[in-house]
Amino acid sequence: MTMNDDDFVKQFRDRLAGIPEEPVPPGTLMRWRKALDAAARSSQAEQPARASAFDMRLRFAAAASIVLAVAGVAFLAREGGVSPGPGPVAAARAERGVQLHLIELESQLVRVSALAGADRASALRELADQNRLQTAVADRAGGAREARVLRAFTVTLEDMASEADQNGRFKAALAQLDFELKVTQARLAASSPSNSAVRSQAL
Amino acid sequence: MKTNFLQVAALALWLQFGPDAYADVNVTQVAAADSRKEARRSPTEEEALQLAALEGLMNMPADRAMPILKRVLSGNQSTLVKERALFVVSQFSNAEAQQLLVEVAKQPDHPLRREAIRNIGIGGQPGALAVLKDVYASGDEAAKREVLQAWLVADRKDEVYQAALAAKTDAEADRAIQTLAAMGAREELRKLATQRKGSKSLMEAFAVSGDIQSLKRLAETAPDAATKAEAVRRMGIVGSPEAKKALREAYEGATDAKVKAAALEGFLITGDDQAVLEIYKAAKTPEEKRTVLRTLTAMGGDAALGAIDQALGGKK
Repeated sequence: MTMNDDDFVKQFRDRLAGIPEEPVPPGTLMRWRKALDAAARSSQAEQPARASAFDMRLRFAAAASIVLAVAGVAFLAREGGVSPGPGPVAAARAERGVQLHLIELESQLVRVSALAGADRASALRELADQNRLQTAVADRAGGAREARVLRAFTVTLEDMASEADQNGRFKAALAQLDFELKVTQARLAASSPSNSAVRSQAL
Repeated sequence: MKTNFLQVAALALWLQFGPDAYADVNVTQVAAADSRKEARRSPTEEEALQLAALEGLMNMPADRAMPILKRVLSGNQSTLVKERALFVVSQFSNAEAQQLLVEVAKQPDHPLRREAIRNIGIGGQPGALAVLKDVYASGDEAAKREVLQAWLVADRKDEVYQAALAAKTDAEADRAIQTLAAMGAREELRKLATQRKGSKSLMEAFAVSGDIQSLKRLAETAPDAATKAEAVRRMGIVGSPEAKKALREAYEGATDAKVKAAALEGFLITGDDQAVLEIYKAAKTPEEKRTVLRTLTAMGGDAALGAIDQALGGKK
């Protein structure tokens, strides 16, 4: 013999009716409330955590794809192979490459400013070399405007390297370069709506 | 995004109507030397706020940003802030922005002249760049340096080449040649070589731009041993396999001791101790062996140790 749902509900009600009504002890009530609050907090926190992990993956993927694109253009430029040409796609790619390079340069400069004398000079020369490479990429992709700004930055970086042991001058030059980096980034972000997301994705 | 825009707009308005903006100061009275000192310091807190406002102008259309920039440049903000404002001006490609830079660059005593010239290079507009030819021709040494650097930034090889051709002094020519080297302008340097055969700065430029062919040609055609030696020595700076081969040929083909010594110095610069060891082994006279051995020992490394050992009779 099997019990159907209606019979089961009837039986359950009868048993409940047989249980005497007693107040829930205060300690137990407190425990239930704490457990419910904790469950609520964890369910609220879990959602942003998942979103954050996803966001990080998205940022990494975006940054990686841009780096690959820039490296691809640089490779083509160095190998003298198929020229990307100054078409709109290549120009947009170069512009985004420059934007990413400027963000990287900005963070590298923070690191370099913590170094002393000779190490600082050597790190600045490396940055100048990276900047030259990026200039060649921008030039080849038809980004003459970006290339000019980058060349000016190379001159500044070389000047900074030659005066790396003079803290006052170094700080002044760093402040000027920092300003010019920010202005250039603002111009690039303003000129292309799609680029405005790159900074936040790359950070 | 909207909040950011409002902040930027508020800062830009503050720049425009700030307490200093209406003061009537003739900026040209400030010495250019003071301007250079101004550029060589960090901004104060007040200036940092003004610079943040200037940054914000990049989010505005040129027709709204330019009046604010003009007001900053004619107001009594510090020279440091004005110099930074000129960079912002260079980022706008409209005629008004270029005209603003040109006006400042044309005034020999203007404290912002140096920065204006630099920013004409960064802006890269042909009309403004054309003005730099006059600025260079009539300018003092400092102005000439700035113009050369602006041409470098704008990648204007021909203007630098013309400046080298028209140079009135060796020092002026040297600066233009060095600029061409930094620009990697091989063709222009080669053209100059036909007119300034013994120029050390030209040889330096060939070396820096990696033009081993031009150095070889100079070494072969120079009328005197001293010039030949200078050209050969600089092959070491190029340092490529082709340069090492050229150095070996120069050493073996030389009849003058100066040229042979220059080739050894070139090898010293490249650090190619194996090539020097081969020369040591092939040396025909004890004097040549002594000279080459000194170069080898100066280079250090295993090849030098082997040669020293051999010279002292330890190995055959």
